[in-house]
Amino acid sequence: MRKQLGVLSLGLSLTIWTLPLLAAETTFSMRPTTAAQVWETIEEESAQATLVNIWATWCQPCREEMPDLLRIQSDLRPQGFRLLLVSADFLRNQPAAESYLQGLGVTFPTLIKDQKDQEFIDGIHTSWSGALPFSILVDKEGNVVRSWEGKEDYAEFFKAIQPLLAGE
Amino acid sequence: MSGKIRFVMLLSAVLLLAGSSFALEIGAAVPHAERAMKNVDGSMVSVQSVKGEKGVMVIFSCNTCPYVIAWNERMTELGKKAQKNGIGVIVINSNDPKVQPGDNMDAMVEMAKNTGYTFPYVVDEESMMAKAFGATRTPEIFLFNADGKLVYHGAIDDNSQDASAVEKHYLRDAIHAVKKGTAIETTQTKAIGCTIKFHS
Repeated sequence: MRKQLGVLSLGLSLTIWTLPLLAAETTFSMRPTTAAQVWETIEEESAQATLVNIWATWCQPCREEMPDLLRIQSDLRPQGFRLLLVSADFLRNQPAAESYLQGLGVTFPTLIKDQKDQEFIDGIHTSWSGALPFSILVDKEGNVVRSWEGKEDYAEFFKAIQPLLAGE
Repeated sequence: MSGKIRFVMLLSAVLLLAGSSFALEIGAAVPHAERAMKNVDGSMVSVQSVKGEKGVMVIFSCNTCPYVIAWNERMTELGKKAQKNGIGVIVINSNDPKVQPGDNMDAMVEMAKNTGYTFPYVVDEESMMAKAFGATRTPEIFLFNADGKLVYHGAIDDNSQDASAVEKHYLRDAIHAVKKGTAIETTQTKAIGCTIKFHS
């Protein structure tokens, strides 16, 4: 009886502890952000590899690559990969950006730019000209190992991300 | 620093450079200055043909990008200001209409008319000019002085969303400096914009 109670309370404790984490991971949100805060988010989450994708609802190439990005997230999340979507829509269009992602079934936290362009662009990565879409791949040490300006596909992203998850 | 870390940093730099785009450097001359491009009024126009006594401003733009639309009024007013100050202006659309149907000639004609352009709005066949300039997005400004040297490259100002909240009038200040023949304080800036849909 005592043993059963012990197992039950251990199970309850684990559930209470992990529920907020699980909820955060499966709850959509879009939080205004600066470039510095994007980097803070990457550091806080300590993923094996993080792909930061800057996109916008009005950006056709961004919309074209989004399904592949979401597929990469779904396929590689269990191995410690994290997709960090950052909308570059104007803040007044945040509802449209939220609606777009939720319509695609996004159930994880995302961000929206809340900073002037020049500071944001240089804060994300100095190689970025400002054109959308833009993606950077960050390893677990916080180093940018690859960047892409323009649309990419699943195979290209996978090829770059996989070695970071395998510890290469 | 260990050899392995140095190697990783070097490899990262190479990969990053491979991923980054070339852009015309400050001091460079106008590429393909004599290349004739079709204007919305049917005439053929080159950058050289619109050059004013004080210089020329080349604007890579399009019809559809929300950032162009947000900046369009300011861009048009600054274009007129530049012309009054002896700086020629030309707006270039390098998008492939097969990729971006809203950027066909009919739509360009309408855009120029509705916006009140007093300068040419031309088609960049094969996106040749965009590639030569290293232009990657719209809108993107290249301002050349009387000697034909690039003196400013980048954004119109620091606030695409709200004209009343602009704090740094990059292009306006650059136009003033070119008119007076003085140095420009901020010669290069960046701004978010739509990727140019290059002809393949």
